[in-house]
Amino acid sequence: MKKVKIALMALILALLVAFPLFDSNLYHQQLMNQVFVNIIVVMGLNFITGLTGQMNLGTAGIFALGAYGSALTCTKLGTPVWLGFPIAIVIGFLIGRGLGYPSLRVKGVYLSLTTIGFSEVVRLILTNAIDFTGGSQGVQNIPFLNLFGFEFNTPFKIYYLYFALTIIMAIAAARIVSSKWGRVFKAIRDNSDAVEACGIDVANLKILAFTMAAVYGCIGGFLYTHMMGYINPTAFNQDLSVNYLVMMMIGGIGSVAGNILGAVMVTLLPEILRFMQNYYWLIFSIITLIFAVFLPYGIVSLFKKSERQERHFDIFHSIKKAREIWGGRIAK
Amino acid sequence: MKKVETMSAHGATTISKSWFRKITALVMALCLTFSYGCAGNSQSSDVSGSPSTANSAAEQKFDGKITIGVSAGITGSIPMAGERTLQGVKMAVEEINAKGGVLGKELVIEVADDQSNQSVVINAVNKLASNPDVVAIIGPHLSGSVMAASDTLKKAKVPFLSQGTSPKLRTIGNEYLFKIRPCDAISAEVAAKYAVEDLGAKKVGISYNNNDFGVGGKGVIEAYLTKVGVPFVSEGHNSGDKDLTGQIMKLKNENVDVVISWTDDAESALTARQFYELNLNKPVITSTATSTQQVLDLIDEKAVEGFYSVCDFVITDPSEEVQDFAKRFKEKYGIAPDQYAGNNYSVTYLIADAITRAGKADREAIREALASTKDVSGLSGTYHADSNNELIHECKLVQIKSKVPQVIKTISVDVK
Repeated sequence: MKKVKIALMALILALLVAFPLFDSNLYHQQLMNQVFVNIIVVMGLNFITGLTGQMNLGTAGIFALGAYGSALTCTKLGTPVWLGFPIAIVIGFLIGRGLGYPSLRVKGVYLSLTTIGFSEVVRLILTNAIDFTGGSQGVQNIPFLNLFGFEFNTPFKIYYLYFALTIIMAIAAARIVSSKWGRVFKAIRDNSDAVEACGIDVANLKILAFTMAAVYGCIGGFLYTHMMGYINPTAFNQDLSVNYLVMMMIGGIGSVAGNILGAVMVTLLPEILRFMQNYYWLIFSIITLIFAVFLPYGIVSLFKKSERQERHFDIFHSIKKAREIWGGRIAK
Repeated sequence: MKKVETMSAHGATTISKSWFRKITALVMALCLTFSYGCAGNSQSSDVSGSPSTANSAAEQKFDGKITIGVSAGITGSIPMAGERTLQGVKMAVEEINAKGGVLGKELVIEVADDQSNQSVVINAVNKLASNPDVVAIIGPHLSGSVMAASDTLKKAKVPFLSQGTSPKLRTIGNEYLFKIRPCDAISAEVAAKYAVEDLGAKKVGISYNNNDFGVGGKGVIEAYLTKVGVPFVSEGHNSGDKDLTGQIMKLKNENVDVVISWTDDAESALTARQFYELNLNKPVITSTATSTQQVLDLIDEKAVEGFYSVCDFVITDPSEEVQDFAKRFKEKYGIAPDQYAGNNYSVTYLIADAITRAGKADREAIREALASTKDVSGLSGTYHADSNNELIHECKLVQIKSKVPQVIKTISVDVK
């Protein structure tokens, strides 16, 4: 079984590497680049909403700050473009800390509202701070990424860079999901009181989850901005946050493979359905609805054991595992 | 080990569930295959979706096809604009084909929905540009969308004709971009000039939308008022705002003589309603929105009576061409045309004219032909390309009377 899985994975990777060599259509390449950006953002959202169960509807705000942070530093200060990457990480870290604290006090719907508020505040600041952000006219002439004098200025070149980055970030995300952090995150989602009773600092871990979500989101924004070359605040609206949530729900909550599937599907499906002309968005919404009703745990649950059993299994297992890892340290 | 135990405990439910799952998986797989399969045929379905092929007898007399791309916001924040655009373009295409097409070839359109959102716009124009048959693109409409799409279309070397009116479009230096409506720098200045010269304003209030369009217009109005030495107060609002009481009360307290409102459709309706409710009682000059039917439909007659509006296409324009177009459009679609329908109808003719002048359906040749456009008449004025690739250099000033915009005068600006 494992061999089949590895062979399948290798096949998909080989196909993806070969894709732009055989398909020189810029539209297809650009779409794939968008898919990569979306995969990274959804993997981030997965940490906080998928694993830790804290509803975050502020992804658009996080994404926008990552995008603007990098765009403004390199257009206003003329710094090297790659510097946007560490800047995105720092911004992500700060947002994660800042958003993480309220999440300790507010739960459920109220946390959703806080995060919506955050992303709307970001959007309105970007719109109204005209002298600094260019307001609604956006930031123009954002340079492409370059490394050692090599400029990533066509969708073809961007494809390979983003593809490599996505793989690295996906491996990191998968490792985190199955690490002790990942397990504690799941345990917090399932029963945060029990986790606390095991002597684990829930507050710190929630902030950690938020921070990772924000760092991934900001890196996504950074990649987006240097791919588009022009950004304005209207793109970073509430629809975008919801869209990322939909990607996560459709693909599979809590699983990196699911996030990837979801991002691929929600980004590509509307484009594939374009031939339906006026009805394509309707059909897309219906397909989304069908998925939500019949596969509440996402596409990935088709390939897994019943999620109910898994959850049942997970609550106890993850608490036990967490207790072993963290309890030992506390006992010292 | 634990896993196995749990499995057997729920054995019965697992079986029925797994059946259910398999069926669901099958249905979804079918759905996807179906959509992929159809996507493969998208080329042909696009073409058959265009009105021209409906007439198979007419098809035979053509020697090949010329495809024009249309990028319009059919879904998204301004779907009405997208629908009217398509209707206008389709009507023109049908008429042109009925008259024998362009260069003996049939004119067809390929439509891509851009959702009026910059990320989707990129995909829409990329899709159109990646089709080598597409020789020119109508749209995208919004200035922000144009900025997002500009680089892509410049690289692909596709001429595109946009309704974007932001003065900032003058600065992006894209020779493939053609602007088919008067720049806001022109229409906003016309509004400010009318306020000062004809209405004799001593202090002007500006109510503007904090988006690309509103801020651009506000800048031009403020520059003009500063130049002529008339004081002004500016109050901004955001797209989607539902209450402007604060802003309007401020204008009222500042005792302005004339208010210039520079905002989008929904906000224009809201502004007009609240001006009336808060009893502003001052002459109001607005951007194009107020003269369009969809906005007038949202406002009470009393609230909008006497408003001035600066616009380029208006169906009450007494000229024969406009009246004839309005009549035929209404017969065909059962609804009155707006500026999106009118302008894009005209522009389709303009492209057909450019292709004829170029003598071949080639992107570069069409760009050159468009850039040397002179005295081609359209519904909102005479098309005449200047060094900025702006094609229209005149606006109409209308006054709303009993919810009908009446043209007061046409103001032209010199072609640079």
